[in-house]
Amino acid sequence: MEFINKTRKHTFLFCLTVILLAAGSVPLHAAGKMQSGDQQVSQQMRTITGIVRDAEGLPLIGATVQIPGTTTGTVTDVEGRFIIKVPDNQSRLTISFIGFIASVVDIAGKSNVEVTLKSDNSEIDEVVVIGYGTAKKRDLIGAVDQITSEVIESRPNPSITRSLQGQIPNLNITMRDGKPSRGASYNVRGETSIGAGGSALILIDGVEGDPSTVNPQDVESVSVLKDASSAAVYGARGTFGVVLITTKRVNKGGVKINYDGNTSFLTRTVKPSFVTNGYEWTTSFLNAYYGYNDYSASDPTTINNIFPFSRSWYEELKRRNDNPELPRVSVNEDGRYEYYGNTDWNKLLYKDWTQATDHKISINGGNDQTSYYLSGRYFAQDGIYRYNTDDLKRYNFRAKGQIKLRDNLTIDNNLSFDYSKYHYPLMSYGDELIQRNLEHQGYPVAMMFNPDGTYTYSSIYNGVGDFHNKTSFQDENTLNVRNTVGLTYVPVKDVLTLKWDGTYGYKDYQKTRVNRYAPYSEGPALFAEKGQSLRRMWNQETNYFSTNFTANLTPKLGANHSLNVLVGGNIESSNRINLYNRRDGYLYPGKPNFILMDGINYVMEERSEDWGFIGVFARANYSFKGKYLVEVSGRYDGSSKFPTNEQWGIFPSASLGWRISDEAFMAGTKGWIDNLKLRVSAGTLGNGNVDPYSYLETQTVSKTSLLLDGGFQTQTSMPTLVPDNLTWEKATTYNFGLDADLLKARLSIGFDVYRRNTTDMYVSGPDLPQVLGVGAPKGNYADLKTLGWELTLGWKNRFDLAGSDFSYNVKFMVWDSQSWITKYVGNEIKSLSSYYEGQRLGNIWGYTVDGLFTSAEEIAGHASQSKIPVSKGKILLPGDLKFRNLDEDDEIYRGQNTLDDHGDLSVIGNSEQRYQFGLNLGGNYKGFGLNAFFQGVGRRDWYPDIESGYFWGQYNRHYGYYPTDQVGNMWIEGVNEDPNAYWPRQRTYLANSTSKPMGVKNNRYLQNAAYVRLKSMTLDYSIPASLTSKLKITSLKIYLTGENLWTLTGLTKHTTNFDPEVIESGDGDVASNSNEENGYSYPMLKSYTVGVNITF
Amino acid sequence: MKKIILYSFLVGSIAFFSCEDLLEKEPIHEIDASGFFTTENDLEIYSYSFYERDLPTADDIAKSDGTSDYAAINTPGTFLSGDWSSVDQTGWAVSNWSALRNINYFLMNAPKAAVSENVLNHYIGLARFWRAVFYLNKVQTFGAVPWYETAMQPDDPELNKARDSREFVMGKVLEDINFAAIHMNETKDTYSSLVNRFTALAMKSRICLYEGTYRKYHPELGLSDAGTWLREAANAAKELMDAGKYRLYATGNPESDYRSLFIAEDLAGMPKIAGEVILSRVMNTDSRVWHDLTWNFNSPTNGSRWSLIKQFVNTYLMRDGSRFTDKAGYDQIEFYTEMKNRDYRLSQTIRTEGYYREDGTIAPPDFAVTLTGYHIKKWSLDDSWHDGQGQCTNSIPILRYAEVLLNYAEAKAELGEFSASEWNETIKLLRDRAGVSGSEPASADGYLKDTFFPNISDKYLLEIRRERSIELCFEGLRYQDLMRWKCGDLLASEKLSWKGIYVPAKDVNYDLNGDGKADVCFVDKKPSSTTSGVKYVIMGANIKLSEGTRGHLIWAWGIERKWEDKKYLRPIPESAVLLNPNLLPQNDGWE
Repeated sequence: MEFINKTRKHTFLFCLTVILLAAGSVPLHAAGKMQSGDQQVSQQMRTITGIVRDAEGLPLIGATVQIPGTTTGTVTDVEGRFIIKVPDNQSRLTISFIGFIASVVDIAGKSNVEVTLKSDNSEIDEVVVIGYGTAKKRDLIGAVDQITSEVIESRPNPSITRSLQGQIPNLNITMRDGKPSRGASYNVRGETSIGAGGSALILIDGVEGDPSTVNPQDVESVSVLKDASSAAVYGARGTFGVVLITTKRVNKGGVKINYDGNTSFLTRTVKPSFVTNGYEWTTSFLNAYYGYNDYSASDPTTINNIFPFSRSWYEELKRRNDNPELPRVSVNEDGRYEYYGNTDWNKLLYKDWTQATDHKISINGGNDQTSYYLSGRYFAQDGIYRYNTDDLKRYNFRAKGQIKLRDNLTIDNNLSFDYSKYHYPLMSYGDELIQRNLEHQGYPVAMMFNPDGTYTYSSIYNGVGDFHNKTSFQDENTLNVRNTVGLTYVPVKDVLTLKWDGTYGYKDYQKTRVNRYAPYSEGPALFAEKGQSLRRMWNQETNYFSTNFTANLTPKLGANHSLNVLVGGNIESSNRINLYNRRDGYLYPGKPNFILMDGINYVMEERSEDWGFIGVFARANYSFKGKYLVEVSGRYDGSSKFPTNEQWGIFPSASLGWRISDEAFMAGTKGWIDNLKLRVSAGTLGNGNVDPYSYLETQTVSKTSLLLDGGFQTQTSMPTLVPDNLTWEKATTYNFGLDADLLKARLSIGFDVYRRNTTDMYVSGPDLPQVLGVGAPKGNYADLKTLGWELTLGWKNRFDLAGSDFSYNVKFMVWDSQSWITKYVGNEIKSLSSYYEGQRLGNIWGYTVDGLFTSAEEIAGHASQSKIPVSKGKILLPGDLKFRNLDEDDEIYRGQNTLDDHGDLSVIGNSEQRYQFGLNLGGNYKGFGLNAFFQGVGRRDWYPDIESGYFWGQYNRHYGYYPTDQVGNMWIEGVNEDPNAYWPRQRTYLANSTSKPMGVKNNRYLQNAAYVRLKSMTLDYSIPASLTSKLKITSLKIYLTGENLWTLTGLTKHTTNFDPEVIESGDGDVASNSNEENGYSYPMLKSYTVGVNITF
Repeated sequence: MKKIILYSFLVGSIAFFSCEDLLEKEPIHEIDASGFFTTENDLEIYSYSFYERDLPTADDIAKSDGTSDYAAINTPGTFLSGDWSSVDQTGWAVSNWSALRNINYFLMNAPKAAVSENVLNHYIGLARFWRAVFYLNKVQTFGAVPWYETAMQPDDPELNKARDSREFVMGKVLEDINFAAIHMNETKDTYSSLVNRFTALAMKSRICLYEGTYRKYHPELGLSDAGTWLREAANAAKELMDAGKYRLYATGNPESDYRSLFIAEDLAGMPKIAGEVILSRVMNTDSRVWHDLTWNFNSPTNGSRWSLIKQFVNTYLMRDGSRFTDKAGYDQIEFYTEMKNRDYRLSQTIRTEGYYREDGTIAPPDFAVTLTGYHIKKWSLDDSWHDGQGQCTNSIPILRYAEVLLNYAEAKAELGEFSASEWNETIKLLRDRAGVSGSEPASADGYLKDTFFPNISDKYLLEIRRERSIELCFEGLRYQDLMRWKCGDLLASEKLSWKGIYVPAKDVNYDLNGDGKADVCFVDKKPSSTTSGVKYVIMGANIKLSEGTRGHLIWAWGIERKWEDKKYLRPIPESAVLLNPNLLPQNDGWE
């Protein structure tokens, strides 16, 4: 791929114009008419014979022939023939067949009938939304998948993102936790770029947008363009796939009103379980503490920083534990409270159940001249925190309309409005994850309240008391307004269509954090406060403009030739302003407002980001007899994010398709192969995801945090290092695909295999000696190869069951991808701490553990483990982990930590999510419908990161959680010296750093994070029309839905404290500790929903 | 109509290409580095980043002496009591070196600014001041380190160079600090928050005294020019003394003048204090810039329970100038009596008789906090509200004129040029302020020599070291003093145990501050009936009496603190060697 510079772009424009004009001069033909089937009837009494064929005249084998209202019937034979006896007066027969529209045949006065069944609107005739248009699925030669509204309906989720998870092969959506406001980036086909990164471009009705702003009820279809060929018209914006969310069409004729309402009851999928007996916990605390200190230290003087420990307190704790009648709090000679609690802090933190409500209404109608679609939604979900609970409210409105100005000129408008409010509890003194704070301050011996009802210091410090006190919180308000106006002009009917649209979008995101002092007391007369008196407000305002123009030419070239040419242009521009204000000192703490504050310590910051994109594109599809399909497309892109000499790039692609099933030599398979198509495509796209201005050396300006010369001074400092030759990252995709519909469209198969090469990735240079004093500058240093495949198997059928129609469907999807680094400049020694050429992404290097040491002799005879210290004095004892000496030298170590010299390290697993799958099961019978959707990951290794207290417990910090999973499965001297215990000699600080025996990755604590989950199950019942029609109701359905009802995961072998979907690091919205503290996030929720759907 | 629409589409599509400015986006909230360094203002705002990155914090100053010979803490650090290696060592990350790059980037680019030579030299001097401080710290930690004076590019071969010798690096440090001490302007801000020529002189006296004594007491380095450095130290200090811009803060209130320096908030409103404080880290209530030292030093849990040890407290003189350790039975005196008539700095450094909090409550040493009975109050505000809040607003002196006097005295004494006139210019001034007789000692102090400095016989030198440790107690200099004097062994538990006050008997209530109320009782088990206000200190694994039923309190006797001579330097971190093996060989003993 060559980049052309500015001077060549006019040549390109010229070419486009020529294509457009040349195409316009091609002779035009009128389209042929579809033929409808004939019916012939002959007369003979009592016995009727006949033949059933499809539209192409081929016999249909196994079609059902039935006397209406009875169970009497037969099926057609291998030639499509049938014989049936009917009563004299019988005048009609029903003929039905899967994939075809059932037909009622008049047999009055006839003895022989020939029936032609019309194809049902089956898979292959499905219309699929593609870039700047639609196509029939049968004509697609790119890798495109689409789902329609039915997979989203009846899912009571806050946003469609959760409902889409697992529904489209290789659309990878990972929801890192269960927070109702949680968004997700949409990944298509695995690892995109280790440099600039890149997720799929998400377009809502053709314009970039945020899926969480879409009312699920509005969604007509979601289509994913996966390969370069199908995404080429989006150029550098669609490098790593495009997700097209299309809202419902404006219908003509009649007024249709639909209401859907439901209410849900939610609870945590996983409730982490910890020892809550104070004495048991403290005994374990001491054991871990002494383990780390080689059993030679003095008693700790505190449990953590604020909770005093002494031997006499511990003895008193035992006494009170043995005698539960004794009070849990006493006052010592200093007038301070002493606590002897058995507190279950998690129970205090979380509710058992919470609730959500969802109301959606839409009105659709119109006539030939004007038509409209109006919808609204109110969604509210109460949080899972017990006190000062989080609370999400979301409002959606959409108004779409269309006016036909003239026969060939239509104007349409699409307005959407989304507003959401999210309240979230915070701690008085800072931005901390409560799950982490509970690890550090939520010991069972601490208590929530003092005897006089005041908060304890611990409860304010760990946050549960703080939440109860309700004075610190965060409020987020998001407003999205968007309007698109479009114009469609058809100068030549069925031949040339011109379209233009323009969009203005406005987004205002406002986040306010209020921290106020929280009161507590440490003794009957020792009142104090913790926290700060601080108000912070972030305001982000985005103004977005875009415009698209397309000309679509479909000349009539005769029956055998079909050509579709699209040319167009696209401009986008975005301006974002971020304001940040901070001030402290509330005058009236009950009224948090910047005016009612007196702190002279305040901050006002303004940041902005501008970017612009221009692209022109063209696409031509040609097909010969519907058998041979060709598509070429390309886009010429300009981006403001690159230096002037690199702003423009051209990105071409091509694809070929072959409908083998239409070939003459396949005629013999007509009976069972309905459609068989091979597809192949290749194309290159540039990745424009680089941060704006990243090619410029800039200096940031800020205020000092110090007082200098009497005030906070404005300061600036050195710029970061910037490469001088920055250029586009490119992604080249090769795709091979196969689509098949078999057995009268009962069985459908879709299979794609692809390879994506991401080249010139913009990554950090290799690690340089630290004395450089700045991170190594980024550059186009690396290439990546991703191989993957996706398979979809669908089966649907219907049959008669006890006189009623029973239909069911099964759709199984499985997909996979793997990535390798194919080039990485600068890490020639192949250090494992950086990327290196040949590296398989996700590989986990770690030590191998050979169980626990059983004797001092064994330790003495083993290689030194002093570089993986178990304790302060690095003294190994029986019960400690024994690392395997792979390289058979005299110490356990990582050598030079390179691919060639990695000491005792080896690849112990891979963290990528492999073999992801989705399984949809559905059935309908007598108005009842049952749908189940399973989703999962077939293989994934997970090594719990450092500071993941839910897993490591007191091996991480002695004052931390004591998981019940560890009880009895831990090597404890004199208590449980079991060499087969999963957990080694108890010592603290073994997991809080990557140089420690448990913090360093090893095979023993590598977890199997594969899972299968019943993501959703819905049972619905449609009230028979005979009942509803009296109420002028077209349809009335009631439904019960469950989300996340059942899960099977390999994790539970060693820990029951994790949901397999919440194993990432803690909630970054509150505090960010990347790659630490796995699981310290908002719990995943399961829900039970009851709802009703009415159409008038 | 058709044509009009068709053409307008075409024109529209062509018009796309006139939107060139759509693709020209400039950063909005950042400065383009290529146009920077033109005005004096550019130099000034850049220079504030040096302070932001390098100015010591309140913790650096007030807590560092927790690792020193004269303090006991709740748990000794791993460096002394555990097994330390190059894997444990930090201080060589990119973030540790970025301050140097920031300085060097400035030095390379500042000359582009269109400013007078004086102005340019002032800012160059400021940058070099901070570079000298940066490298002093690196040399103190690692010994030989690579010297850099440019902001390097990634392909610079210098990145992989070997370490430069200590001699070379310190030579460069001297050049830097000399430039600052000559070229910076003399303007002093009323907050003592900015560096000027005198700050550079004061810093120079510290650096040169450090290096001079280090070379003198570490003959294994084979460097014979200790004298040159000591001369530079003395000259720098003397120049500052002679300039007359700074003087000790003394208002004739020996019982409070010393502590005023450490609890003053706004130096701008206290010009006399600002007259002694050469550089400080400024705290301010209204601006909500504060620290939590009062909390740290008065909480049983939020801090290390820093406490002075008996052996050091013994070195505080009587006000008449006589030695406490010359008194008969000095080692078996009860706390209340022990504190009587001592150097007024003692009662301003630790809690003694007559210490009241702001609300009028009398505050004896609190055994929930102190380990030894010598409860440090030097940095603590009197308002007990601060005991639970990190909102203290006393500014932190980083460089004081008192230190300059001590630097001068020590340099002169080490040069053998110390006599009565030097005594009167330095030690006498400090003792006068503290209400201690300023007369010279008649002889070398045997206690000081035996307990701390067996290799020192010079009476002046011993007195200067005494004075330095008392005057600068818990100001963050002690550890490096021990290193340069080659007294690391004082950190070992076998040399100095963590000894506390003398306790004549167990199970007896003691009044520590003479207010007639019992404050503490040392017991084996908490009695069933207790006296209100009495703290019961239970003997056990952590704490015992040296004679069993009586004697000195001994803290943490179960933990050994070990000293080996290799600990004078830290090992080069493993992570540094991995990226640049030329940093090897490792420092002696750390291979």
